[in-house]
Amino acid sequence: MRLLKLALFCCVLIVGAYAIYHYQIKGKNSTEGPLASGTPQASAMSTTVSCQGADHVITNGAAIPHLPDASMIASEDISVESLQCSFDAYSWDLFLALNHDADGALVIGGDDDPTVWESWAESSDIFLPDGATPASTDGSFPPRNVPAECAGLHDGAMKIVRQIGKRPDVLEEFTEPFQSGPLIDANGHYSRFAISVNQSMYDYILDNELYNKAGQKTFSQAGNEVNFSCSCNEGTDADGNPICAQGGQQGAVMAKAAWKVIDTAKNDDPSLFHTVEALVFTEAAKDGSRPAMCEKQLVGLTGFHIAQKTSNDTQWLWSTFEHVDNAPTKGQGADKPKYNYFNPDCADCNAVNEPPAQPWNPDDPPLSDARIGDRSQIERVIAIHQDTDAMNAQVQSELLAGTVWANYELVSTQWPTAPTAPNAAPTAATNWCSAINEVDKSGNPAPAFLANTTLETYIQGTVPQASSSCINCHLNATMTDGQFSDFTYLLERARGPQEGPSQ
Amino acid sequence: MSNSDQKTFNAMSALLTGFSEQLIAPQVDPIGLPKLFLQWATDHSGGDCANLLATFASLQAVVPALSTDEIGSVIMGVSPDPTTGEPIDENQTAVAQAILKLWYLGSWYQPFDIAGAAKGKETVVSDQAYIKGLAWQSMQSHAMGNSTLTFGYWDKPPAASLQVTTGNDEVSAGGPPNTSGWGASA
Repeated sequence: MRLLKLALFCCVLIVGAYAIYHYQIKGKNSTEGPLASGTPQASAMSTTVSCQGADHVITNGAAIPHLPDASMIASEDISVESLQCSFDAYSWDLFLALNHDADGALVIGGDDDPTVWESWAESSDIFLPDGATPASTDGSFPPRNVPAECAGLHDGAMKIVRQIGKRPDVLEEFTEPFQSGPLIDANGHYSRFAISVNQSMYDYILDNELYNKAGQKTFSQAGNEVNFSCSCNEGTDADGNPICAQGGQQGAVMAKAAWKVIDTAKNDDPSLFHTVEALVFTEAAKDGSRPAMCEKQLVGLTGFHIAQKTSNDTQWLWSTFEHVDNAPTKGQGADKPKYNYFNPDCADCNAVNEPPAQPWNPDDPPLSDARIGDRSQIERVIAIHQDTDAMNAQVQSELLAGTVWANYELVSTQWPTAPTAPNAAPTAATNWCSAINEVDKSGNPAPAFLANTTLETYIQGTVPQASSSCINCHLNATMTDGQFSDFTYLLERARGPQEGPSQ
Repeated sequence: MSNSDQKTFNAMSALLTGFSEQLIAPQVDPIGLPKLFLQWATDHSGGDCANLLATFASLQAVVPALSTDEIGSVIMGVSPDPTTGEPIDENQTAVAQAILKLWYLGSWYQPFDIAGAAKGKETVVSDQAYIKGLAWQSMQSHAMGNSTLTFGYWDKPPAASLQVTTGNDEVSAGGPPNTSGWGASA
């Protein structure tokens, strides 16, 4: 089925491929472009990566891809390995498109400005404490939901990072199926996490009133099932039937980020990270032992998930990136003098990949050196595949050299190998999504396991249903009424209004 | 194992199980059970797995062509080999039965004594072999603790017909999914 789908989309992608080619010829290895003079910039606009015998063009300066570029896959070479190359190249295209400046310049690597995805709606802006309708002043994303403790520090657009676990504290005690815990960096600071959604996904939540419990219940009782829109390219099938909306469609995209405090007093170098000035918010302890706190800090990006739902991949495509200095790989030695989440010269550190001992208290100041044993000591359990490693090196050196983004690497891309039901072509009625494979809704993902050391820190490994697998885990996601939520746990965060103000 | 052996094994497995070859041995396969199963059957059957594959290949080449049911009857020991008029070797039949159970249950039931394994010894070949056992898929269920269905699936009728589940349009049992819902009155 995937082969057939890929063949169909080859035709559609010819036009797009020509446009990319035209752009590359004009821009490749040139210094022309929209960057301000005097700012560091990448040396090339595109690079061709050879992987499993096929060439993949990765482009700096393109819009968010609607689909993986299936035209690059030779029909006689369909295999897990060759398709993995294509999906990894897509992931890099997606990373480049999402991390360029939000000003529309389309080229990554100028001043380290806020990126495209940082302008999106964050979960805390959508799922408000009282279940209220998110307010939007300009017709697009809602304003930042600023906790009272942060109000005096907030400049109107500043990022607010608050989570210390992968999922919000309010949900953990009920739904967190894995042994999990906070990620405490080598300097003793708790890492923070934030989730953003693009316009398509935000619109779906807003239009269907899925931002509170009552809206979700009404939605389900009307016989609906959550089905976010799928990205697709404009085109028609062999019979002339449309296979996507006219002009193509940018479907749902989620971005999940892990941030660490940049502590220059402890030799953190901000020039090695994508950084932002953020308000780090810590909710009050439930037992009343400490009040809520908010502090302005410089934070650096250490982990980055991107999930995009496409017409061929109703289980979504899951790309994950990390800072190159996060952690050593198990069994390969710690050859760097400094890691973000691993101390190579520590006799009393916490056991590797074990959550820090409780109690967990993210209050400032950071853990003292006397509590070094309470910090996370992290290793990557599954090594990055050599093909992905080679692709990373080429993109870093040819497209990202001289920018902070050269310090980020793709870990892998998880994709469904059998995503859809037979003869289930997407239509407008299905938001241009193919019908999911009802026999195996996971779509039999490859690779079977995928973890980011900052976001699935303590559930790395290869044990089915225990170790991290993006698709298999998110397959269990539901709304607050227990109905399937289309591979996102975000909708579980809805509150009220029928239950009154939340805690 | 040669590619030829693997192709023959995949085709024979499809015939034995009733599942389509595309479904049990997909071109894009992140798990690789067919390769694992062929290797396992070869290692635990002396030369009888290779003999069985040769028998199966010869039956496929019979002119006029035999139906899948006719070939299946021969290798399962129900009917004689039409080219010889004799039943095939009973060890080959035992291996065919063991391969059938391996696909459905993920376990290898040793079909006869070999060095290091007595007849009847049961071995779960791998975690994935168990999880992906066709028995689960046939009844649209899952191994305990390993569901690829969405939360609350138990409250809804099975979504797919047996034809979809097996990828085999010729299966006659099962019929269309129950769309009336559980507990609907007749």
